[in-house]
Amino acid sequence: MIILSTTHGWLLLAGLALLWVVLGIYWGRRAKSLEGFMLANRNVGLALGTATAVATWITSNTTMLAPQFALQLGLWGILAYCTASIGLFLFAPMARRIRELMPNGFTSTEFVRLRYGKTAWIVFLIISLFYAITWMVSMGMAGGILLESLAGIPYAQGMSVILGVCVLYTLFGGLYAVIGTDFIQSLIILVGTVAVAITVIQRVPLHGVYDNLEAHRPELLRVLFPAAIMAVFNNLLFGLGEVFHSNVWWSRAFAMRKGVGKKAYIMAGLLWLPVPIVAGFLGLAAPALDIAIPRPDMVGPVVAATILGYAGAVLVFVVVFCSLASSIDSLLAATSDLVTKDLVQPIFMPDADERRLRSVSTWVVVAVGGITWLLCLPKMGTLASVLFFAGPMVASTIWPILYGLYRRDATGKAAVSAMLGGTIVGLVAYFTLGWYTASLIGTAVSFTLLVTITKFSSSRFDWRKLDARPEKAMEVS
Amino acid sequence: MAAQAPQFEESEMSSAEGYAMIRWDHPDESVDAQFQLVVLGPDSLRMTYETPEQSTFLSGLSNGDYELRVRHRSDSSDEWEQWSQPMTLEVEHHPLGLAFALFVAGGIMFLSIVIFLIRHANDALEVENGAV
Repeated sequence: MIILSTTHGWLLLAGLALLWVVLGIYWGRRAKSLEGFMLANRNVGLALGTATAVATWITSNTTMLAPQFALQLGLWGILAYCTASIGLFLFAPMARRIRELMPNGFTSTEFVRLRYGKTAWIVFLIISLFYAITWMVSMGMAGGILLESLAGIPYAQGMSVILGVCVLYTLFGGLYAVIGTDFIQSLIILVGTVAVAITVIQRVPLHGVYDNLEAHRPELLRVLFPAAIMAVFNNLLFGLGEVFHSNVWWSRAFAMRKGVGKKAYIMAGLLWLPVPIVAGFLGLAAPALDIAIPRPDMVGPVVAATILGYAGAVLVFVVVFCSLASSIDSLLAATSDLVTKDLVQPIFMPDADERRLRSVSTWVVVAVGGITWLLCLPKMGTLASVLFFAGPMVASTIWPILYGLYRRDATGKAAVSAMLGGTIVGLVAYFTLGWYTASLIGTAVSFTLLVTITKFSSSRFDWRKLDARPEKAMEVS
Repeated sequence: MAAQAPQFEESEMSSAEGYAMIRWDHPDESVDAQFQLVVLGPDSLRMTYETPEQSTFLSGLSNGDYELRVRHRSDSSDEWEQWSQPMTLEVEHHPLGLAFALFVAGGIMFLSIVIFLIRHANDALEVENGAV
């Protein structure tokens, strides 16, 4: 369904790309030191902190996957997607705890290394990197699919430009650039979403949607829809796993000023909540409009563009581009921190100074962008199938992170067993029952293993081991 | 000479979720075409979709057997070509017992996390006070 002319598509793409690169370079001028590049000098206030959390969590998955959820799983699907905000609410108290335990910390994997030791660190690092790449691939794909569908820009070209732009401005400005652009992007996304919501509700009568669904797609309205019932807590736990473990959220906890993190995450959760409801309605409206949906992950943009016409297509283009950029840049920055501080420095450059690490960090941004680009090229699966494959992995980290942050008796052995056991059984559920069960089962298995093994633990972790410069902390551990 | 009919990628499919991705081929790739898909289901259900794409995503289907057919016409013509061979889609949702069991398990997990965080809400003081 090509609505924009390819020329207009390219012009919009070029305009937005130029805007983000210029703003990224402008905001990134202060990123002179390694701490400035990675953590914006740990001085992010409430407004920027909230905006960056909202913008990062409104990904292409919110604008494109929430309608897909509604189309696949009906009203339950919208509810299931909304539960992702709970991840932000529950991370709020954890952000405070993280800041207090690790005032000099950089990454989530660093926490796992100091708290649980090397084996747990390796398992956690693999999960973190796998998830980060999966998330980025799903977004790169989303960008390519969107540009191809709305403006006829070939998938590989559109995807390459979006990834390239994000790499470019993250490269120049680090977290400063990411947070600055996130602020503008979150405003555009929220205003654009409200505009789409108002227009769609005016043009598509609710009773028409209801009558059509009842006649042709009855399961989408049914309370006793088995797969959808299973998906509710599965998605909630996937969201918790994503937020609790990912360095995207930890790096923001480290970057925010003392006392800001908790409020910022709660406000971000509240601001985020209406977006999937609006986006989800587009998925339910598709059958009522008799639109044939070629791929479920395209339902949101296709319906919005059909209802709103050319102006709607431009609006969708801008909103989705912003939601993509605001998340890809965050992931690039957070993954680069993680690789630089937790992989390159400890293994290859233990004595490297800040300048050297800053240079390594920029190369890592390019490398991560390059790997994502390569994985995006073949356009594997739908967005949901790509992303939810990582579900059981991240869900199996929920309890190890919680126990690690709050309980002194949790051991590395228990954490490793929980992460591996949860991942393996969760993946079995993914292939045998369906993607909508994998995170839930992964969490339950991980919880059971962690609690059982910890019951027999006599260990008492010394919290002070976390409160050290990373270099010294490595010696302590 | 009559043009060939499109062919579904699979002649039989089953779904435990009430949704399925339906794909078919284009009998004449050199010509831009419109496709018409007809879905016949239980209780005299009939849905018709027209699309230039070679796939459609169906969802929200109740338990039962569905029969699908597709035909095409070139963009320059008003006449539809012949129908494809039918494909069958069998929808049988997961047992509700399994769904409820997982729902309850998920609820217990979620509540456990919330209770855990509430119980440990003041643990930060422990660090501030220097106790380890």
